Amino acid sequence: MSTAIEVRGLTKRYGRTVAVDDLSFRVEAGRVTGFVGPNGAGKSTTMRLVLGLDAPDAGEVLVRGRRYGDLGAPLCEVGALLDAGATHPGRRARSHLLWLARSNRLPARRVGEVLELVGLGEAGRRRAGGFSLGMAQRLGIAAAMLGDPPVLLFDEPINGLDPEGIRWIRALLRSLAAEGRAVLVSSHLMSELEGIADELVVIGRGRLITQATVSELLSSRSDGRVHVRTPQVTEVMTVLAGAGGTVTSTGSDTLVVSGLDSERVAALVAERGLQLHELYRERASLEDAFIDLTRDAVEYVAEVPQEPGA
Amino acid sequence: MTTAALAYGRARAGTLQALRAEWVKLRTVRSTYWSLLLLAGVSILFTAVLTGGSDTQGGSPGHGGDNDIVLDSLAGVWFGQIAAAVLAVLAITSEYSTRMIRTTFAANPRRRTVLAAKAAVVVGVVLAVGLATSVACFLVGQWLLRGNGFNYEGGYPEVTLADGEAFRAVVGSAVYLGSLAFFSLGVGAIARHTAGAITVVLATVLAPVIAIGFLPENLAEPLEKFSLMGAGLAVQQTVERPDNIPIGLVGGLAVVIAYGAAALLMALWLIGRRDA
Repeated sequence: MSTAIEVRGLTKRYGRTVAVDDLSFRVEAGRVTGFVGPNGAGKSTTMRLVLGLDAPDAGEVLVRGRRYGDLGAPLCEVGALLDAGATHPGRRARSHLLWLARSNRLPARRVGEVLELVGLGEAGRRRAGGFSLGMAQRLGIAAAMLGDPPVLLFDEPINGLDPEGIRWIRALLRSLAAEGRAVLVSSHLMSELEGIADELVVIGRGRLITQATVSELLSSRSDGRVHVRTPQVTEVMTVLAGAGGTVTSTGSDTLVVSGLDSERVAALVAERGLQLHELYRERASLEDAFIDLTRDAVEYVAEVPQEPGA
Repeated sequence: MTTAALAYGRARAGTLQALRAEWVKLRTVRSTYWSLLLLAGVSILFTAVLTGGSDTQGGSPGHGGDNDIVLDSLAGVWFGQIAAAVLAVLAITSEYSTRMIRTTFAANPRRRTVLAAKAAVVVGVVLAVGLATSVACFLVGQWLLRGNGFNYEGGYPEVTLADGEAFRAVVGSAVYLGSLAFFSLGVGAIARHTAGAITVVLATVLAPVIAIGFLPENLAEPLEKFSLMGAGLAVQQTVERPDNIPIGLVGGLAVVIAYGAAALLMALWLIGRRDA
């Protein structure tokens, strides 16, 4: 499988601030790569560096093996949504896409095709300045899709979308990857990427924290706690503690058990003829994994009240 | 992988594509039409006001005054020019203020090509509309002047576009407008900020005109000769008068092109070096 984007030792400083610090990662075709990090981690800067908009102080980015500036028809190689609001407010959506098409000698019929693709068919005649955020995001995605590129970059595409828009974009990202394209999606919220990303590139303070598949990341966090809901709290506690579990009561009819897996808990309770209303193994969420990973890398930290049992 | 490496085999981002893209950009925003309408409208209006209010103060066949009726009819351009400057500034600074410049440079990373294409399209449009404007000013102005006594009876033989000097003045006015757009685009690309760029352009155009009134002759004359507007609009002069700007056709053109070239060369140099 070819490497769609290869970032090698990328460094970018703005004055004394190091926005991106010796960053290296790869984005492969046929999957969605989530690009996550807290605000100010350097995600947008990295995307601008990929597109050759900013010049790196060190390192390089190769897009399908070439520097961005050497691409003959960039829109056919990389589609990007950096900033949905970055259109002239007085220009009609259709005209915005038309100048882009002309700039890469793409057929004008692509304008109508991508407008249909993003569900803006009717709105194409409207001026971009009158668009809602969701419509602007769709127009930005239409622009990215104009050259039918095998590599796509989306910077915070889910930001500010309504639930319907979020559902649409998640499905779109999945289908683009399923078609064999490389999709890089940034977000400062890991939860946004749950269920879409196959792989994650986690950065903080401009540095790579980890590049891993979602399942690798989740399994590394699994700590095997089991939640139990039962009308016979005292009896169940006694049984489980007797079998070597560490049991904590978390409510009038709920318990959290560690040191025993869920199968063992179920068996012990059944042997004594006790009742269970609920039994589930705690799964680490991507969000938890993310917060753990980036704890040292967030720029601004606020004290968060700890949840009981967290 | 179902996606072909290049889905559109003819696709490329070269000079011709940059020109066509910039042409679409220019013709799909309303500010272009407003600016061009103002360029023509303000120019013609001021020509009408200035020529409509003048008179010959006597004169007879063969004994007219030394009024430059060609220059007088083209004086409206002095006022309309601001619209050409604003159009050219906005063509580039609106891309920076909306951050659309990133889309532009992502679509074609050859930034100098993009800027040169934009300059060609904007200057071309201003030249065309500028020529129509100066022809209209000339015709309206001559018609009004004739009615005000600037005719054969008043000592002013009829002047038409077929007269070499008048033709040169009319075309020269359009060339000046094009050069001003060229300079303004360059300043816009350097400043990347609408208000800043317009301020610099207006100061360049107007400051010498104001300063000349306060300066002694030996300083005022070179300032007028080498100012953008003085050098550029000296081409409108068709009569020897003591208050003429003493610079010829070639000299005036050279000065005006030097302003535009200096701004655009600096912009071309900077555009590859700065982050977008």
